[in-house]
Amino acid sequence: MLKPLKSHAILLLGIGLLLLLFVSLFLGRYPEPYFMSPRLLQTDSMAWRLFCDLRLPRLIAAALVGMTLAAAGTVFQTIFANPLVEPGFLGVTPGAAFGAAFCIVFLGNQAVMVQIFAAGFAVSGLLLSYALATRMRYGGWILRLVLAGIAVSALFSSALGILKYLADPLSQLPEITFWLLGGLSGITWGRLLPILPVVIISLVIMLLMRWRLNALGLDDTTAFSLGLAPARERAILLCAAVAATAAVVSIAGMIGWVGLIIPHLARRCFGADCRQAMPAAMLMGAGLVVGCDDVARCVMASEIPLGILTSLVGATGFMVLMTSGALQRAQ
Amino acid sequence: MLNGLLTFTDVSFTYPGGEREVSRGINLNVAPGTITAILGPNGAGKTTFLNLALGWLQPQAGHIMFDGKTVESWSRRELGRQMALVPQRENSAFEHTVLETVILGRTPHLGLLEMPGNKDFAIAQASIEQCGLAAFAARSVNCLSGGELQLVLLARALTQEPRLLLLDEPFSHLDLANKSRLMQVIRTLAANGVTILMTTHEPEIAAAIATHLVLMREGRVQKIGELHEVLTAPLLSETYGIPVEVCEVRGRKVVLWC
Amino acid sequence: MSLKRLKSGRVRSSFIYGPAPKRLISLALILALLTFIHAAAQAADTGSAATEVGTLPETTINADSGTSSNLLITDGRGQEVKLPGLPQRILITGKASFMVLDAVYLFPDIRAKIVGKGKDGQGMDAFLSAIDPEYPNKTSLGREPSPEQIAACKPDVVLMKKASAETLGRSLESLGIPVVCVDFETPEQYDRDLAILGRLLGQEARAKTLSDLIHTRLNLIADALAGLDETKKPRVLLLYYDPQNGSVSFNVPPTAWMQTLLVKMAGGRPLWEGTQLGQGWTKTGFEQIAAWDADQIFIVSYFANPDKVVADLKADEHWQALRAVKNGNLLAFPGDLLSWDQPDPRWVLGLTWLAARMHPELFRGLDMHAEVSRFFKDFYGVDDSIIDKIIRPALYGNL
Repeated sequence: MLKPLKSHAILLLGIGLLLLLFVSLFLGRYPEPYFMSPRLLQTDSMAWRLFCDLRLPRLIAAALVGMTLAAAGTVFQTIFANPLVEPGFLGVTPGAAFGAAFCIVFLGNQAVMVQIFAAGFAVSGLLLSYALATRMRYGGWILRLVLAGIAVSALFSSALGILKYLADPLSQLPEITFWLLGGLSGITWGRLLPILPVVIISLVIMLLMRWRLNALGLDDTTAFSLGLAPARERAILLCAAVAATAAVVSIAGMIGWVGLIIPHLARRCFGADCRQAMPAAMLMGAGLVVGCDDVARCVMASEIPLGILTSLVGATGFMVLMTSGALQRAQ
Repeated sequence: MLNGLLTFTDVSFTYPGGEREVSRGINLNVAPGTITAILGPNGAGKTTFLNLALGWLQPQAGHIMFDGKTVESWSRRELGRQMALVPQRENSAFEHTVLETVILGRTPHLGLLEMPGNKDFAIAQASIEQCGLAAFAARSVNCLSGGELQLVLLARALTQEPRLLLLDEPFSHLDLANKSRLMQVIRTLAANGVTILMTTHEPEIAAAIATHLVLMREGRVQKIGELHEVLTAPLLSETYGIPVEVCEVRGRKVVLWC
Repeated sequence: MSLKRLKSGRVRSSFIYGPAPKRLISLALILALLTFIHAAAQAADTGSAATEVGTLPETTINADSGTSSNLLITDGRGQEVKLPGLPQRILITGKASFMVLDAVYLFPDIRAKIVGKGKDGQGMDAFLSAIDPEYPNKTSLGREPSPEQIAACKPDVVLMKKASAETLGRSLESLGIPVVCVDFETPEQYDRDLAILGRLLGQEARAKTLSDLIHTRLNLIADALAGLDETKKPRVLLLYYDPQNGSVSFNVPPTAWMQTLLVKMAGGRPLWEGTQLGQGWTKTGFEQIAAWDADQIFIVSYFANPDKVVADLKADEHWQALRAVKNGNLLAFPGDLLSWDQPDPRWVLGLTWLAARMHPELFRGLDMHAEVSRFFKDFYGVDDSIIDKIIRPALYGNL
């Protein structure tokens, strides 16, 4: 049951995120490190430009990346009834990485093309894993999917290795490396807007179907007996999750651990029911990525790759979470 | 024969890629309001039988009718409101509470994007109380005993408000007290017009609760009929392949074996 | 928990948990938002097109009196960049920006206008600090500078290589900061990019002088080699020794890189042509090196002293068996603070040295030490005292 306390807490999370976004708009390296006075917006046209054309799209992108990865992580973990899967699992992330590197090496480093290739190969990674899993003659469905995902990921990773070897060490390799470490430094409205429809529609689907998601995590037969069409409805949610993940990965590169750790955290704080866990995960994911991106762009003159920060925070959080007493509260 | 709620006509089923027919030429008619127990040794095809009734598996030959229509022709949502399944066991990867699990029974009554409302929670709460779980509502299902979990799964099935309730080995994990409580719940349901179809491999259970009995062995139906016709020493001996005696103690049938 | 309390809990929950109609309303709101975004996207597209055509930033240029006329530059990507006047604040950043920085330092009058620079190349610091006392005080932006950090330096123009134009360049252009791309990777690009810098910095005469200096040198070598029979050209190997990459790792450069071009221009036949795997150094093994059986082998090393590397190789019994080593033709590629094989202006020295080494009979009497003095005087305007203090002690290789 959704206790009022919990819905209030989610509301507070939402307000907190909005506050964080608002404060983040005034954080940066201009005119000096960290804080920009709001008054400057009226006097300095560069400040205004930075505010509108750089910080705003970047913050929106950061929030969407976090929301999407966390929501997709929740969908994947619930449907596969496995707390250790994340949206990149099933060849999605390695596929995107390969696609981006392929484009950088062979077709030139054009932002839009890299984005299209990353998204395209992310989806093809999933399709390949799926096709492989249906043909595999071993084990149950989940096990086959996991094995297929591992195999396809390995395939893409090795192909990526070849591409890195082929890449021009001066111009292409740093580009691939920065992409693999993830970052939002190149975000402008022009790169953000094309992915917005896919991301927002997918997020809305995941948000609206969140209660049903609980039932889709049950055994096939049980889900079927509850009047669901498990295969079809899971496909809808997985498609939404993969499409949104592919879209955000295509602009942000590899942002690690958000999709794995945030759903755990959300369940820990708000219970396993996706009615609360899903919106909570979205807000927490957005908060984490916005916060990490603030650090990435403020602390040093040089950008810190965002993926490194989220992994650092995520992995540390994971360790604390897994060893804290709260985990055993149920027993 | 045709007025049954659930009828099987010459149903045969083989798993894809499997060689052995798991169900062969099954004919069955479950009348409304009865408690039918499917009794047979392990591997007799009892669970397959339930999955066929549910529509999850489709027979290669013959057809299965529910309330006058073939099971496949029912829409998923409608059938979910008619028929509910209590699986043998369920593992939850996450810490769902009892109420969160039971409310899922409302799924067939709600649209794709809908979430349960006050009415749905009232029904779930009533099911929980009916199964004697009121004290557990806020607990995680992962820290319940096997028997308590079985009752949770039953409560979820009841929340579907079905006309036909399918139970897969519902008594297998229960201690005596819980067995007795579950029997009470099932009898009450039957008295309220819910048709019950359950599998069991224990003849005593069938003897204690069923009105009708189906004896299965190696995918075939050996005998169908009212309890007293079917629960006999020769038939049970044949079904289980060992000598079995049926005695009557204080009006209840007891099955002896060695 | 009683049923009533459960019920009231639900009623009080926020609207996202509400019944279906409310959710439909939120769905409709989201759809409306999407439509708005789409419209905004189109508006933004036309908007950015307009900035490219040339709405100019109002405050960033401190135009000198008299140079208020617009400046239109076609840069290394072939894109037209419009500036309101000669830039007074120049920032150099992006990938491999030291190549651009070196080239800008060829214009002595411009050094004071550099307000920020990217990550320094190997050994560049000491050299640039020696020729420009202000160099250490210039803002260093690091490897992947954020657009905001660059904006905070308030540059009138940002110079970068084409490789950074798509990411960093785009962000800066969206802020209205003009971006001019130059590459400085091949002799042709030196011509093109010196001309671009000349126009951009108002130093066309200096750019012409530099181009002429390069061409005089190129012509000198080309004339000496003119009519040289193809069979007289030595078969040579240029190997980059990379101690960071395993115990012993040798690499050959790609066909399009400066190193291969230098060998060809200096009248040699690069044996590794056609073996390139990717667009960077291609790793090769001793067996392949032996199979190539080169007349001359040149060793380049950026992180270990090439003299030491060559000495070690000469002591190696496998290498002793190579014909080039037996004949004393295993040579360390020279350099000072930077190796001369790279797309730094020093490639002119590297070319001269290679030609003299491969065709000693054609370049009799060439004094590399005198060439060094002349190069630094001509290109960087450095006097002998600095050359003696900074450059000569750093010289290495088989001069």
